[in-house]
Amino acid sequence: MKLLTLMEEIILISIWRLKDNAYGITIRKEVGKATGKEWALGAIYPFLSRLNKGGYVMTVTSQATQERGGRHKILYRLTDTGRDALAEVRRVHERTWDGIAAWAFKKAE
Amino acid sequence: MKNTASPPRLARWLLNRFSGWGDDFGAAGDFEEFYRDLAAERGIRKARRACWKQVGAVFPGHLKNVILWSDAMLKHYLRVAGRNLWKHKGYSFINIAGLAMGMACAFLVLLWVQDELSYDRFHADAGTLYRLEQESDSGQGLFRHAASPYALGPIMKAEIPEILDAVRLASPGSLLARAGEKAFFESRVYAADPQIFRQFTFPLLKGDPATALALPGTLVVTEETARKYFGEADPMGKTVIFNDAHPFTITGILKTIPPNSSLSFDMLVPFDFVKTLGKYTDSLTGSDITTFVRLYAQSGAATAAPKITRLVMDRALSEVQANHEAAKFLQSNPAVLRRFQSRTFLLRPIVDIHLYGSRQAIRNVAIYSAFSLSILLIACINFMNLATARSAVRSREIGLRKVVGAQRKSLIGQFYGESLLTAFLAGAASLVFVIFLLPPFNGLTGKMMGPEVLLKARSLLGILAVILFSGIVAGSYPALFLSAFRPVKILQGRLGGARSSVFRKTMVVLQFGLSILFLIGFGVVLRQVDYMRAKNLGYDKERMIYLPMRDKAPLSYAAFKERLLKSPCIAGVTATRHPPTAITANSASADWDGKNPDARFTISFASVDFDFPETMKIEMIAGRTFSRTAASDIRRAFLVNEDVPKLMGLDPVSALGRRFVFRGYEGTIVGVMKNFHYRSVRYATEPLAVVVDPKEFRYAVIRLAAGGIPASLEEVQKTWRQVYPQYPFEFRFFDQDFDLMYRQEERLGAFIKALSVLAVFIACLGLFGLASYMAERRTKEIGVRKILGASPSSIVLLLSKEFARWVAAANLFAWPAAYFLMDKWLRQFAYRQEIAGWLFVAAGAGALAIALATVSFQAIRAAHAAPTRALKYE
Repeated sequence: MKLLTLMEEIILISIWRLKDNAYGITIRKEVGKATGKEWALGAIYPFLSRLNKGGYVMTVTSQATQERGGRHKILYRLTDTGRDALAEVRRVHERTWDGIAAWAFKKAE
Repeated sequence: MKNTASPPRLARWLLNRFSGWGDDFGAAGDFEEFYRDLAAERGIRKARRACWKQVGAVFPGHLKNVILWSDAMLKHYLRVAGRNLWKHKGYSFINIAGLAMGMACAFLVLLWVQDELSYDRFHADAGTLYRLEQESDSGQGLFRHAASPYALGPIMKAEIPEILDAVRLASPGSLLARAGEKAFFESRVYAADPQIFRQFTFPLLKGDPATALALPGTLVVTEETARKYFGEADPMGKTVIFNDAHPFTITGILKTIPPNSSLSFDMLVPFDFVKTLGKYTDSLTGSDITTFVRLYAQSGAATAAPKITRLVMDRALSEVQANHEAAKFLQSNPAVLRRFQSRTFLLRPIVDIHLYGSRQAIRNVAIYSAFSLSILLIACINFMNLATARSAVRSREIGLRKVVGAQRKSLIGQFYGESLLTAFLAGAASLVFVIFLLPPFNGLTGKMMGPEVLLKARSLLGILAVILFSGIVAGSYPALFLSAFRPVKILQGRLGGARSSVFRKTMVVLQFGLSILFLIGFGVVLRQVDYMRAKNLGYDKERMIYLPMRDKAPLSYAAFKERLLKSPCIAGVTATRHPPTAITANSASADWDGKNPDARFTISFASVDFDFPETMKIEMIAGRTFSRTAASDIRRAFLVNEDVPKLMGLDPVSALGRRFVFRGYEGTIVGVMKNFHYRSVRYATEPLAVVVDPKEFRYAVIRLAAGGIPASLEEVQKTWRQVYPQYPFEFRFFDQDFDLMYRQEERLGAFIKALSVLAVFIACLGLFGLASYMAERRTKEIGVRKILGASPSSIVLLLSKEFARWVAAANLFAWPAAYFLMDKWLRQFAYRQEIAGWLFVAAGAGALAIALATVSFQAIRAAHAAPTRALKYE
């Protein structure tokens, strides 16, 4: 199975965390929290597009609301493929990191 | 009203355009929400800024995309363009050669303009440095000059909060500088405040900038000056004696002052030296020195200047009130009073001194830029014309491309690709030209630019801009016009060529019009310079030299003159207060019996020696010249030129014997001289009065006798050495001064000459291409005509007639334009050579002849081709 890239992984997890409220703005915030830096709004979309094409997420178009200047909102939800991919990534992570202590890569003082 | 509830519309649009997300992700809505959140949280301004930041963040990626995708297309365009260039080598050569010449011209002028604009920008604090200038009403309009009182600098610095520092530069005049055996007169010496090295970027090679001028008796010299006196020896700590009385010790060596500095000097001494010389005054009424001011911020200039004016005015007023005599003098002299009261101080940014100061370099920058752009335009027109002329041939290719499915956009791309490739090739060729042309160009402009100036970032940007500009200008017409062809019509062979041929004609007319304009301009400038050079000055300037008598030299003038006159090599000796080729002193204080007390006349003034009219060979109209035997002639007798009696309302003879009071001299008019040019012929002669005053001699003026000039000069030098063993011998020919006076005009003339040659050549190059194309297109027609019995000469006529008509038409707009421009140019001269009609005819006929010669080469070839071959093709 194809492995996710780190950024894809972060975004997928963010979407999972956000449950029913995953769309551009919220995802950007969540990603920002995880990576500790501010992401350009536009930086998120190419990944979402890729994930969408890969079938990891599906989109739901919500009702247009006044606070968005009368525009609709596109919500993202994990598909089963997405869930599987995350589970796989997690397994890979665990195997890869097995037996390595957290301080292993600290710089020797 | 701005819609503050949603993000900036432009940002929204850009984002939408660049991102290419479409609205698959609800990005537009997200953006909106993002903005609203931010606006609510941190305010609208921050939110808007954040929106723009988002746009900025997207842009590089977008650009990368565009370039990556168009890379393939770009390669294709270039390949097609390259093939086309190669296939039509002749046209390509004409295009590239013409463009290269036009560009070389543009690049040279670009370098020159950059050099002009770079004046004084090398100072680290150039942005906050200002020269203090003042403006006053002299009764003949506002008069602005860069002078300020001695004492003002420190006072301003203390009183005006905007001013960070002020540096005063006073010229002590010409000083005799002696170091060991060597002695020279140094006129480029400034007495300066010690912080000069902090305020300006004049780096010291040796010595400490903080202390170099701090103590009395310290001296800073430039590298070259040090070399002049001490050769290769270390000059630090050496002694230079000024005027054989004031010893100075060298405490610093200045790096050579760059040529693009408007402030330039050879030596610096502490400011207090002017006090030693007794020139200094605490009074704020005078204006004797230059003051440079450094402000805390640029914004302070507007508020600081009025404060300086008020400060000086207040102090000067109380000064005058305290001094009874000065007050009385002011009251009795309305003109002086007006000048005093209207004194306004202004701050001129140091970077503007060269461009907008008295040199007005910005005018030349504009003129030369316009010239070189015209040449570039002429070269671009060649490209456009040849491309449109070939459009009929190319139209098949275009039609086929369209049929196969080429978009108009890609055709436009193709044409631009072609023109840009041509432009880049031409640019490369022109850089080679530029490197070879720089030395003569430097000679023409008096600059010192090496090929390395091309490598400066600004030059490179400029060069790239010129290339892109000419590529786009040259490619636009074919790109936009040819790409619009309808394929069906093209392939049917029904192409409306009329429009493009009108365009082409207009362009040729424009090209030749500009060429004729240059030719006429060249003629007018040349004639004016010749005219000024040949103008009868009213005296004989041949074999005239003058020698400055500095320091105490005038005291021994009588002995010098006496010895000189003993030699047969010397025809005459006299003396003057001012250089005799540039008498610039004038005054409005003249008075005479019967003068209307309210009227004020500006009269030029010179103090001279007895033999002035005789030595200069000035003709007398009435009365006598100065007489040595009449004791009353010293300081009591006036010689005037013929304009003065006119002012007095008298004829020359009746002016004789009149009482005349001028510049503190009181006496009678004893003679009237014919008008002569006592300064540049650029200016009209004005009323002049001269008086004999031995105290005022500063220049010895000598007429050498007929015979060998070197021998005569030898004689003068020998005499000088006998009388003045302590002073170096310096002299100037009058002719040298006159050469300098017309240098600017001669440069302009040489420049226009080069330009007109270039313009005609490039235009002919284009015409040659057009003619060969026309002949090619009409091969069949010519064949048929010949079979029907047309003679070769009638065919040559047929082909040349049309071109002749275009060039003749060019005169229609070139003549009035040339008349208008040159008339305007000539107005700056008091004496001008009127614009001659034959000049126009000659320029027009010359252009026509050259054009016809170019065209007939092709026409004759076409006319003599065997008709069978012409008809056989296809």
